[in-house]
Amino acid sequence: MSETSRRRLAALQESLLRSLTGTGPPPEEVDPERLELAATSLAVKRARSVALAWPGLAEALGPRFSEEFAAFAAVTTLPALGGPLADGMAFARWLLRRGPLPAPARLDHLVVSLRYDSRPEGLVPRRGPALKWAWIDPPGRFVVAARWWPGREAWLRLPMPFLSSAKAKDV
Amino acid sequence: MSSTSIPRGLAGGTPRFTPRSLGLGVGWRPELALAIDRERRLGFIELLAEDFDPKGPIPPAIDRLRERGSKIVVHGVGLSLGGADRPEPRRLDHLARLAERLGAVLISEHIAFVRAGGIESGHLLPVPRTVEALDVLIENTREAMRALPVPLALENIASLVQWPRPEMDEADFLTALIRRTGVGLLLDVANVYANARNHGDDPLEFLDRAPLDALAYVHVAGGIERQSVYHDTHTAPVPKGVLALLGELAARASIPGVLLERDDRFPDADELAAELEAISAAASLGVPRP
Repeated sequence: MSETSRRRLAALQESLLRSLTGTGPPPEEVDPERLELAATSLAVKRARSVALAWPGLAEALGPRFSEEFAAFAAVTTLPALGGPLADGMAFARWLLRRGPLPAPARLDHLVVSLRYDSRPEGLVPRRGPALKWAWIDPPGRFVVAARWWPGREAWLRLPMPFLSSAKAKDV
Repeated sequence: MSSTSIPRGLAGGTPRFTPRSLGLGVGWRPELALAIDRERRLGFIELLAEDFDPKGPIPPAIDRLRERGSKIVVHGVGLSLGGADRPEPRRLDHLARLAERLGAVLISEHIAFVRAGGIESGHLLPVPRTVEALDVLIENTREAMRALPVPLALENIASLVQWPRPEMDEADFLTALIRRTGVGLLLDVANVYANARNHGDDPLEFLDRAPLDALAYVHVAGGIERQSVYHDTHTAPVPKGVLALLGELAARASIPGVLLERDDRFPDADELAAELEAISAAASLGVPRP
């Protein structure tokens, strides 16, 4: 079998994939209505998968999740490694550029960065030790997580409500 | 296809897939771990390859199932065997190590492509049913089989979009793939059902002509209907139509194993038990064929 076959197939498949991710016109003779349905279902599945992999992030954004994720997904393709977990990490970073993450999302971020190494192509499981921390506010808590090797972790939660910026509002 | 009419003895060194008995199975998910643990009928479970690190810890619930004698199948979605690129060594290596670590009896993947031109789809997309695409798929499949320590089975997918002007139907496409590689068939009955509903394919005609002698095991799942299109979402109980099709399959072949897939809106232990009961009955598991 020739490499020409592979090149022809690559071009065909790329055209279908581009049209499904909204970055290219529909391939010839493919039913545009079905294509649109498939594109929608792909987008729904992508958002749902990230919501499942990052439950804290989904909870924190609540009804805003769909809208925010759609805006993110429109400009970012799926990472090659790490699936929805890596997609969620890219989404979290995208959100971080616009402001701090709400507490449950920050915790998700801490867990994933503790267990996975971020690479340009996505996430890979971390082999060596890692130490990560986060200031979760509200409720004003310093969280430190240490990991020696896969499956061996220690978490320390230090409540410091007196440092919380939300304190003034709560009282 | 001319290759399908070659007598098996003359087909050269291609080994044939030998099915082994698996029984009743469930796709293992953390959310289902408790319900699965209570289930005593399970002959096998499927683990999603991309969710596990071959060097990392294995959840104790999975070790317990293995100790009870449940067989393990490693199920991948990222190999893109129907794609234009050769299978990536690191992905093959991941599957191989995981299968060895877990003592898996089988690895399964899909007849699909999931990436092209550097873009990930996050979903299984259909391979054009042309002679050219079939040749690429066969070469990729052979390469994967050589790299894997246990037999490989490939699954038919459901797709909303279809390529124009197919050069053969799905049964012929599958038959050629299986005859020329010796790969096993993972038949997803819910996908056959979805394609029949959405594209008007005749599912019984397909079952009549599919290469069922290479049947490794069967997938069933439930989906939802949206805008008069059936989506195989794995989020609902298995519909009657899928169970009926499973019955039709059981009337045509002996089923080595049947596995329920559920990915969201997880059932409790009672609902899971009822689902498994219905599937087991429809597949005539444990009933010898006349």
